[in-house]
Amino acid sequence: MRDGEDEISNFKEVYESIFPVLIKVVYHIVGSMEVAEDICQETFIRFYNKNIRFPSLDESRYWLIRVAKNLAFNYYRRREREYRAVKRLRNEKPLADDGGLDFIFREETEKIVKKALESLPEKLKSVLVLKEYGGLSYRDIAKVLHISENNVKIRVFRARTALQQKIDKETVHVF
Amino acid sequence: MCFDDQVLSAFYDEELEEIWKRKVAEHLESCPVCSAKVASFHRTGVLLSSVDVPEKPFQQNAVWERIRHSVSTEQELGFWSKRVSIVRTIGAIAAVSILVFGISLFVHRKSNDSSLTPGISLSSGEVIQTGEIGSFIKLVSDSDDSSVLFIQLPDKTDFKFLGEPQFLREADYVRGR
Repeated sequence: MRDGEDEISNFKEVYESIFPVLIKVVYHIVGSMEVAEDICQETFIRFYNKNIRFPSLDESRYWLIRVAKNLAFNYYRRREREYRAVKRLRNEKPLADDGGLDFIFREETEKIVKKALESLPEKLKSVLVLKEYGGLSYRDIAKVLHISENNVKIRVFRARTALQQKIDKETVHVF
Repeated sequence: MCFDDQVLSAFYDEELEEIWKRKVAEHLESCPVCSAKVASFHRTGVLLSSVDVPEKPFQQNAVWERIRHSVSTEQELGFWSKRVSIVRTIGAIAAVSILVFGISLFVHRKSNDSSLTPGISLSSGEVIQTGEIGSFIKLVSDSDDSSVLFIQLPDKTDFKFLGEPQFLREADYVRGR
């Protein structure tokens, strides 16, 4: 039996400590703020309902980031499948070709980076998002993904290199 | 000697131990190649930060209120009103149904086996069960042509058990021998 207000108060403490990181990570995977909010909400409700006793606040944060990351990638994969299906039906050109009239460099840069990030394999994308947007250390990423720190180091490097190569193919203006 | 690219990436992330951090920093001062690599990591970081999360005022509180509302509603509804997975529920019902059907089929079959076994009645009034067809064939072989034979159908007409009349199945079985 839960102890009412105390339970909610502890829950809120965890929420406030991790929400800012979680929303960034999820947003950069799904690319939509509304969806990112829904996924964060779902993650915290699961966390509350499961009522798992974690040995430390850090452990609960790792659990939350892991679940949110998985939900986000599930959403992303589903959306990609739907997008491809619709594209096949309409026989449209790929998204990449439809941005030719955008003369605002900042927006153009953002678009190119987003596209490059989206095109990374899931394994590389997750470490890079957790590192660059979540601000997590190699140790924390290793805990979230259940891999070794050395593996994190390798994946971060590969993700950066792959991303850089994809971006270099386009003309990018950095402000 | 230049450092491995992964080490330079970890250096950029400030993930190296102090002693290695110092060595790499010293090396970078004199190596344009490694410096360029670290600079490219920095450039990637700058580009990534150009795609930041859109500002949304009071977002954290708004999401918290939604979570709080959802959590308290579930608490008020109690155990029987909790959300359950439709797929899991249907799966469980299907599994139980299959189990019950299997058991009833087994029991039914057991109870009907004897009554469905057809017999062959001889003019003498003797009845030979088809399970003892060997002795029937022997009797026919030993008797003369004037013997009259009656084939007695099962008392019950529940022939459709397991999809085909058991009687026919048994007859086929005998013919196959």
